[in-house]
Amino acid sequence: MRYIALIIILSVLFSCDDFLEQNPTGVLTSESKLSSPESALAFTNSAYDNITVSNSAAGLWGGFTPLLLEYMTGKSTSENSQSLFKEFQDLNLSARSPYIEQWWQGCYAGIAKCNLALSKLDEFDHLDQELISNYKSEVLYLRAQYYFYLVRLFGDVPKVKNVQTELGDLQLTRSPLKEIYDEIIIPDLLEAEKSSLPFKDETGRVSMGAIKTLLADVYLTYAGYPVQGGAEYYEESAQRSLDVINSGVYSLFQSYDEFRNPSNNNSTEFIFQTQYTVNLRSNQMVSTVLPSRSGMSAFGLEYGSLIPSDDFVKSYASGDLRAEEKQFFFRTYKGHPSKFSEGAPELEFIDFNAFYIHKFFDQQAIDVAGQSGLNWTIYRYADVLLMYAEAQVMADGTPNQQAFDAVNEVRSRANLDPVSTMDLDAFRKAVWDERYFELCYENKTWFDIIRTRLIRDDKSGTYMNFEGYVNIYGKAYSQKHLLFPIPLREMQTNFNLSQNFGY
Amino acid sequence: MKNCTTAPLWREKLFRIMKLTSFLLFCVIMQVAASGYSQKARLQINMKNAEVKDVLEEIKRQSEFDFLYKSDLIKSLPKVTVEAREVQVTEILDQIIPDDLEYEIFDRNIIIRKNPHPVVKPVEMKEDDVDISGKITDENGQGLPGASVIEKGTSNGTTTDLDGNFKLALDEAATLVVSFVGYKTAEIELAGRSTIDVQMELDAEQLEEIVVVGYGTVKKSDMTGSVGSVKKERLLDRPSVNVGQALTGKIAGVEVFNNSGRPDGKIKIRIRGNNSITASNDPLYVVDGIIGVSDINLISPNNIESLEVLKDASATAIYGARGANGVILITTKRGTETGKGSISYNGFVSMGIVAENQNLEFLNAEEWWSVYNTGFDNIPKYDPVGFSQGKYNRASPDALSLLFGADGKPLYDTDWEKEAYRNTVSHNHQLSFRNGDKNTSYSLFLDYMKQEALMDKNYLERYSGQVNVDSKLNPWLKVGMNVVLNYNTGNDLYNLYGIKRLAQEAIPLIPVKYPDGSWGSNRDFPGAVQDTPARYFEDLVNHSTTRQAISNFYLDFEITDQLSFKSTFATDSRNRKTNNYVSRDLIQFGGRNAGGIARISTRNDFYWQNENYFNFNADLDQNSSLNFMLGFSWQERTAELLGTESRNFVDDFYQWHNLQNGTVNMPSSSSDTKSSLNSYFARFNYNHSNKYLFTLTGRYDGSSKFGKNNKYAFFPSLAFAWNASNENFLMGNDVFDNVKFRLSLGQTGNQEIGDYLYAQYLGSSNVIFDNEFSSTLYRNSFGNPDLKWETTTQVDMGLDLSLINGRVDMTLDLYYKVTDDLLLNAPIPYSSGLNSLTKNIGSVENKGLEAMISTYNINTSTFSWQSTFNFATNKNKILKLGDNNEDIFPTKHATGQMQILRVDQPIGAFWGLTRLGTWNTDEAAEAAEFGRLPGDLKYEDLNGDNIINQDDFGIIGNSMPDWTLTVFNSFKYKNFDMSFDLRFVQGIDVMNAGTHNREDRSGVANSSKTILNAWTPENQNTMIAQIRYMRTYYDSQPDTHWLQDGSFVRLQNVMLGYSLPEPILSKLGISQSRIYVSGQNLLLLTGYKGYDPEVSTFEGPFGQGVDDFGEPRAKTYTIGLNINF
Repeated sequence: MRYIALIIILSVLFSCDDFLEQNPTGVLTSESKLSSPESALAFTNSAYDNITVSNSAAGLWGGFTPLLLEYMTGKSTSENSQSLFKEFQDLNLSARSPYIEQWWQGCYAGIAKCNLALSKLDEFDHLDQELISNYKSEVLYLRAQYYFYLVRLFGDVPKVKNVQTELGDLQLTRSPLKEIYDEIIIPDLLEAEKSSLPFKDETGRVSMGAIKTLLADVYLTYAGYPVQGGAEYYEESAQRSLDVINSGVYSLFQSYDEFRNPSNNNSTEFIFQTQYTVNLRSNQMVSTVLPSRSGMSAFGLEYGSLIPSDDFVKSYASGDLRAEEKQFFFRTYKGHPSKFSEGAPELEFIDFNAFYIHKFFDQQAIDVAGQSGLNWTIYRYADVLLMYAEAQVMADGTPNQQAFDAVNEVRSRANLDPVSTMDLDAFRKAVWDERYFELCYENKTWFDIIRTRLIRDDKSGTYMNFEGYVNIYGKAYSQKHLLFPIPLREMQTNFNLSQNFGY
Repeated sequence: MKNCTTAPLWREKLFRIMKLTSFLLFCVIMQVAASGYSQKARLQINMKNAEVKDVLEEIKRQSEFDFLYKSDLIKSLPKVTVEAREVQVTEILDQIIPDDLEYEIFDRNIIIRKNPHPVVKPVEMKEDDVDISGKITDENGQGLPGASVIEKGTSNGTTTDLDGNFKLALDEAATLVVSFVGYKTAEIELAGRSTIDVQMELDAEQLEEIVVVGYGTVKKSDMTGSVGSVKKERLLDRPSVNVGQALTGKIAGVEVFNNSGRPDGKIKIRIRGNNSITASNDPLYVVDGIIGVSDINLISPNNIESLEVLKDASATAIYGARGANGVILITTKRGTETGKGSISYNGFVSMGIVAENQNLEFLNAEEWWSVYNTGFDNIPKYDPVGFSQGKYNRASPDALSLLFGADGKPLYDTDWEKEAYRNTVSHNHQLSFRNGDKNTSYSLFLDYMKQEALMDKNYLERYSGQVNVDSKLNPWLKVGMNVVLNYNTGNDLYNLYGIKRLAQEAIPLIPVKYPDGSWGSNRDFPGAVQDTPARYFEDLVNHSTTRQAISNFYLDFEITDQLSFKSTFATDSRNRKTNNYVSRDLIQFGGRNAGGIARISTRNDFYWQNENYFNFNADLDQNSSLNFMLGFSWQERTAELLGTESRNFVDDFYQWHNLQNGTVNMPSSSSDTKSSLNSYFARFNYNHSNKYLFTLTGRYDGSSKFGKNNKYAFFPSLAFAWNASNENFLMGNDVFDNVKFRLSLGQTGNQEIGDYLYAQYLGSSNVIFDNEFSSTLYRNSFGNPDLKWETTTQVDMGLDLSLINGRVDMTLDLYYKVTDDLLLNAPIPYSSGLNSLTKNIGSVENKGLEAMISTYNINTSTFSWQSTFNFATNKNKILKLGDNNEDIFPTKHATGQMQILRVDQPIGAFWGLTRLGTWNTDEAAEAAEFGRLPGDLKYEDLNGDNIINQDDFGIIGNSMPDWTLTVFNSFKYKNFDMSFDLRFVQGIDVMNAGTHNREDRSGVANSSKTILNAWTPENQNTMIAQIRYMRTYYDSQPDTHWLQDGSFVRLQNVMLGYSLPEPILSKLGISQSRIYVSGQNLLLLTGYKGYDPEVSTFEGPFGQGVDDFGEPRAKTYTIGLNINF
């Protein structure tokens, strides 16, 4: 009896071979076989995931990636102690800076997604090949965009064109900046340019207009510092801008108010934007630029992290509409009912006695919703007009009528008189001025400074050599400031990287 | 494993039958202290012409007695006839055991052996003999039944009855020898007396403690590993609501951090330091053999019989891949075997008083208003341009008629700390019913607890029940079960950082409510934001309910006398549901924007295990014995999560009870995971002459968590102990009762990382097109098919010492351990597109010393005093990190990194600037080089580049203590008892990150009173920058001023008890009753400038010692009552 019982008990205790095989049920692995059109789209979409790098949180209280490029111009300040503004005011960059790390990380995260999408899209050979080719073109555009940011911020960077699978693949050296342009950025865009993507896309996807615009910018930059590719690249650039202008699908908004209205996202003047939508993803820059703790908005907090310098605002020509109250800047508003007691005079009017950025003033968000669906702009038509004017004059030596028209289109909206009959230098300065005044605080100015190595002195209105220029805080730019340091974390995880000059 | 069914049936021929039955395991658990079983057990035997051996077998069958004898001793005995009804075992033994043999009863074990001095039974009384009577009592004065009372030098003797009384005829000049297992033998000269009362003294050496180890028990003297043990009496010597609180300071090398005044105590336990960086550092909990019980705090300390902590590799290797952080074994109470039922009640009521900490005080309304104005007065100095522009608007009392009277004075002065934290009343009641006889025993425990937390509206309520049954079906099979049910419910807002922060930051000018009944809000003051904590308690609910059911079934099969087999099947199932509501009017947490947010999330965990093991015991010869255990087990754990959220309600009435009333339904979320383990384990013990003890342990573990290249690993250990006191040269020594040296070496593992980390995944996120989400697919993990366990190799040298008749007990352990193949969430280059990869890289070492010293200072019949010292010191050092030994920054404050992981530094080193003070007016030029003004903070420029930035950060402190010491003293005087615990934690730093908000800025939230010592031209020698409106820039980064010495001495507990004396008890019909009062945390000595230096506000392995708005802790006063019927 005793042993029979024992045998019965023991025979129940059996093992099964696959007991330790546990597979995830809620996520796909890279070995999962996917064939639906929706999954092809999802891979394509992933390339867009990190385009938010242009406007994302940098792990600081009220600190966002656009601040890095604006602080560096010396034409802005901050009321937010935690924005690390002091580092930039003192031109005292640290390889530990979270802004710098965030830009680097975001771009490479986007590149890896592009690389995987390109390789996965090849597997969808059973789907409409034109569709797949257009998907790939979107991805190529985005990969070029990420690399374009990287080379301008950091110079030589590791080149990743394929999906990395082995840990040994990760210790890369930096490839020369020109090689990144020549082997990735330019070929990717030229390939994308062959697609049948529509010239305009109002849902927020990459369009042919965006591809041409980025190419125009890439060539314009390539022609300038540090590559100095030569006049032919100005010509290539001008050609792409002209394609956009001639397409006729883009035009300037009538008024600056239309920039700030989320219902105009992706329309009219906007060529490529980072997408925001109320309840899904809110554009944090809207509250970041409001006067610190002013109580003027429905946002939980106003940060005051990016504030235009007085000198800059005051350097607008008199009569320039953009410098007038509540166009590009504002000095007064009213308190928000959630932040002031009933009857408080602030509910009627507050004078902040300083200039704040009005470009991102999404009124519905500020007054009511406390979250903003206003897109963050990467390219808009005014930029294209000005790129055309600059590239044309640099390619041909004298401005043509179309170039004058382009500049004057931007000027006339600002109630400024048209310009005419100028030589190259004068015209180029007129275009640059327009770029400063039109595109300020949109992350354009810094890139213009480093490709021209000239910086506009707000007091005199003249263009000074970058190296040696002393900013309003009394600090001089030097050669090292043309590039940001490679993030320390990257240096520590990749032994094969060298640091940029001066850091 | 099927071949195990044909495990050899060991023949008696091979070894003499001398075995201990497997019940020993359970007898130990019962451990009814010296109950005099032999007097109580009654036998009924009717056997004719039977072999003595068969009679013994029959006794065994009827009772719990077990016999030890050499079989040849009784083989040739004449057959006997026994006719007995309801008699004690001695009556039968006296009848069947001839005079040339003798027997001796040790509780339930009876040894039969040759009698060196054949008994001459006293058949007649000598003339000068007198009748002597008396009572033998135990150390508590209770009658000691079954004690043996013998006339010295003769075999004349008797045993005491149930009440400890005896009667014996003796020679007047005789000397009495009184003995009982576990007590020192007493010799008393009669000296003419006719009544002799003897109180017996405990013999620490003889009262052999039994210690629970993995898959078995072992006598303390046979232990080879380092195991700390706490029995129920010591565990409950202060009122505790969870295991962590009960364990604090009781075992050297077990650091219990009680991190909060919150209801669940937020306990963190570390055994011998931190081994791991990414994987868990929590010990493994094993409750009644159930491995890895999910939430140990759900178990009521009242239900625990004993708690053992396995520390060294020899003890923990049996738990293989999960043993590296140490193991805490919990054995719950079982039924009794006495045949006498017992009912007992334990209960206490506690009052928690918010501990006043003079080190952290906040500004009152008047001070705050003055600081605000000072800030504005100083704006011209710090932002002359902005000031001249008129950028700053000072609040004026005229415009703030809500807050200021016509005289310009503040109308209110609210102490927000007092509004947020209150005094509390908590209850704890337990009823237990225990009964059973030698065949079947059972017990039932009912437990209720309601614990209020200091934070208003926060509480935890627990109902728990436990029932267990053990039954011996026949001589070779015992089965049993144990079921624990817990129901926990409560409201917990402690997780909301914002509330704790506002309790410190809310502006004292603001009232809780205005006279018209509307809420006060910080927003009523310009530039300030957020509502007040008082409002949060009304408008936020975070209510959760946890149900846990632990069940355990076993069968214990005796295959032969030497070989047994045990199989257990256990489950642990837990359901946690959290209901969350943010009201429609609350601006924070998105309530107003969303029109109210209701969330329900659930988590279901289910775990099952089946463990089976064989146990073989044999005595090889007279001097040596061996024990062999071999087992295998299967375990599987699943978790399923579900979350749902609804927004925009017509009224706050519905909260989470009617999600469909919300018009905006957020996407539901779900996920599930599963993991499994398959293990084979064995232990081999060899004991030679009770002098040399060897233990070999090994476990072979397979885990689903790891990569396909490394599914299985083996964890061996080896230990040796030398009982020097059993050597001839120490025998009979008056000083050394027990001297044992231990040495162990072995490896254990740590597998506590997430599931499926070895694989490469496609993650999914959303991007927006046309104002709608569109899915993405991308690779979100690099994957690592080589992923495997962390392996900790540990060597431990120990010394157990018992001196001067047990007056001094000492355990000393020195250990050194290295954890290799750290499961590091190692950063990889961002150029991979990913941030980190879980891989086995890096090493950490821990070395330390633990000492436990118990002294019995005074031990008389009316007064006793006992002291225990637990001392531990541990040094932790990172030996290797990542491919390039790169730094890792594990915790981040809003202003910068605070902690660093770096080679040659301890885990959790603090990282920051060095604050030298403030710039003086005569240092203006030097300050200007740094872009600073006199009155600004002055930091050390580490790299001398005249720039203060993140390159000037350095290592500034350590979050783990240099040493800890707990001193426990207990006193007994007649029916009174008194005890206290003092806990010393020394050489520890705490990052008081809230200093940023309290001192490094002002004017938008409340500050601490220390800001009144800020820099002024007249007060330049200060660590605090000049007050200025915060929009003009304050320096504030983690630094040496935030980092403070967190060393402390805490009077953990003081208790005074009174046990009702016997006469009253018997009148009341109760067997024991004690009332007590106690105070916990009555005294805290520390230089730390926060609420409490024992603090952890961040989750994860590095949160210890980071105080980013911690909370106050209670001083607790308790009154309690224990009654046994």
